[in-house]
Amino acid sequence: MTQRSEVLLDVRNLKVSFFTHFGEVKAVNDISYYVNRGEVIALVGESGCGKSVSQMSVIQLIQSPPGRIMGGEVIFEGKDLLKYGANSKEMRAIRGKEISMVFQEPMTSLNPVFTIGKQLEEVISTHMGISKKEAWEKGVKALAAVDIPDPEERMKNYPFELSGGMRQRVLIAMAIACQSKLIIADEPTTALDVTTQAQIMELLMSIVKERGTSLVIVTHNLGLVSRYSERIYVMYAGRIVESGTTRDILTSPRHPYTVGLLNSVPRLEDDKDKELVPIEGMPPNLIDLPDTCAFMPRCRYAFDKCAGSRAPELRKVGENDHYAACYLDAGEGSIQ
Amino acid sequence: MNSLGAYTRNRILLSLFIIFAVSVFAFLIVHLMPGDPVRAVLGIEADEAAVQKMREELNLDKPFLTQYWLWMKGIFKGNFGRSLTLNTDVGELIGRRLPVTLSLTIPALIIAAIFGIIIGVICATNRGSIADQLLTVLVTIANGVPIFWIGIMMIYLFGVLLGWLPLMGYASPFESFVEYLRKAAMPVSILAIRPMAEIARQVRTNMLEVINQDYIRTARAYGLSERKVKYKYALKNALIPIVTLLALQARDVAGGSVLAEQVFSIAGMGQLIMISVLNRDFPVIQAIVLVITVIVVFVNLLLDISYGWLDPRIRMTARKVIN
Repeated sequence: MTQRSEVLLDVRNLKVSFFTHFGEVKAVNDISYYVNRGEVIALVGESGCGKSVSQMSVIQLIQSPPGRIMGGEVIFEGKDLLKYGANSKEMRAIRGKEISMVFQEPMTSLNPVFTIGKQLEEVISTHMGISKKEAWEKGVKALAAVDIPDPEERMKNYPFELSGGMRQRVLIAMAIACQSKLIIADEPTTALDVTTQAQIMELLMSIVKERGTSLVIVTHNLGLVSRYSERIYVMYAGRIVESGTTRDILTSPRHPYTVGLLNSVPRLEDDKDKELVPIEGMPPNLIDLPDTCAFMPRCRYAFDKCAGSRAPELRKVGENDHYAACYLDAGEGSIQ
Repeated sequence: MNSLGAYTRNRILLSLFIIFAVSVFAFLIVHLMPGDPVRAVLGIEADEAAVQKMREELNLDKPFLTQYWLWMKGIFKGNFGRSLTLNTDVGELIGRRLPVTLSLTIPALIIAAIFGIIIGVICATNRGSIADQLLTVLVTIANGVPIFWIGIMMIYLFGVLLGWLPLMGYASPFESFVEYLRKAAMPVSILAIRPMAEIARQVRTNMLEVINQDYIRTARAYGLSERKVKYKYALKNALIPIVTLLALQARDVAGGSVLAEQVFSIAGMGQLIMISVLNRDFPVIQAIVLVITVIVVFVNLLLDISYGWLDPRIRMTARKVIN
């Protein structure tokens, strides 16, 4: 294994289910991944594939009931976070201090009846054990670090006075205010318009690079992460179906689902007449998952072995820790 | 950026306009009520000359606008006129009875607000627990059962069966506080029960809705304690709509006091309204309508201003978004 010595977060065999009236929804079905110190990785998949749930589970933020972490380990700096209770002091000390999240919905993720400053100050003083005044000053610094003009004045504003892009900057400021070692950004730019998206991503990247913070980008947009992440995990129906370096995933994808994702995203270097190919069909219902490969019904390459066997395990398909969960033979290499 | 000042000023101007409008309607009452008030007082057989004389005394012979002008002028001088049947100065009558009603309605509202909020929060934060289910059932009953029936049951239980509380009557809290507590306990409880149930129901619903908001998830994701998340971040959001509800409840409690004072034979404003309406004692009716309006408008004004203070989105709607 390469570089495992610097591992910051090591998630092993994580299983998360939601218990609904219709049955058990296996939202996250035995996934393992890791993030090194200072590394940027991406978790890619369609909506509802379990990528957000898996990240919320890292800091035990899923609502329970109906959600429940069924098993696995979340090892952060050598300690298994799942050993702590969801509302325990230990867990709270991690949230916002060691691991911070940036959410998808900047418009609604800040409390409407408290000022930006009040909300930043609260988080900072909770974790740093400093006076309110010092916390306020740190808040101003954090706003300045995310390139918000007039940070002193903005501290006195309420969220509704700021645009979506500005609010996302405030949330990033909150994420870096206590020098978190890991930032999980869950679709950080999905709700923003295109020009703002690029600004926010550049900002996030410059901050993590400068501070050596690790970053997990959760997204459905392979195009977005190809520029920023070092490694990519592709998720489908609650499982990781392919993982590897960004270069390997983009240039020699080995799982038909990854291929489908790549073909459905326009790329600048493509011939302008090239048609985008959507992935046929719909993601499966996570309540009654078949024992066979979950992607098989939508797979253009499915063959007799797929229908007759249990869902394939991840197996090594190339150098540099390139793994894929597919029965297609490595030698063929013709799935593109 | 004194937008709270502008907001408050606008609210005050609106309140003054409402009071003016209601004063016109209150004035018109005497002309809208069926029958002649003078004849109602003097009797149908009364002498035409006596009727004419009383009309002149009451200014009823003058044009509408003059009558209104004289009435308002009197009020600004503190002169509400004389009661037609009780032979007392109306201002004095109200001055004696208003404190009685206020000493029942204000505690009722405060109790309703405090306990309503507490019950609502307990239910919401322990959703589905036995406490929640029990309180929810009680709240539904309190909302559904007629208030006079609860009154009768309370009198029977605490007054007749247990003999703990007096069946009727009133004592001023400034003369004997203990006696006031004993006598006011039942009427105040009866006035408080419905607003309390309504507030509890609303607080519970609001809390449950707020607790699922993204910003609550953010607060949790950043390690704030569950206590802070619930009682600071969520509660402030959940209480904002309650302020409006409280204004509505103030009005209902004022209405309920008519019934409660009747049931417990308390000489307050509610009882005075009953008597004066039955006697067509229009100077009293007009004065009471005006006084109650001013009070309700004032309460609403206070609540509106606190609403603006609680919810920054209300007081700063005119400010532009910073991009």
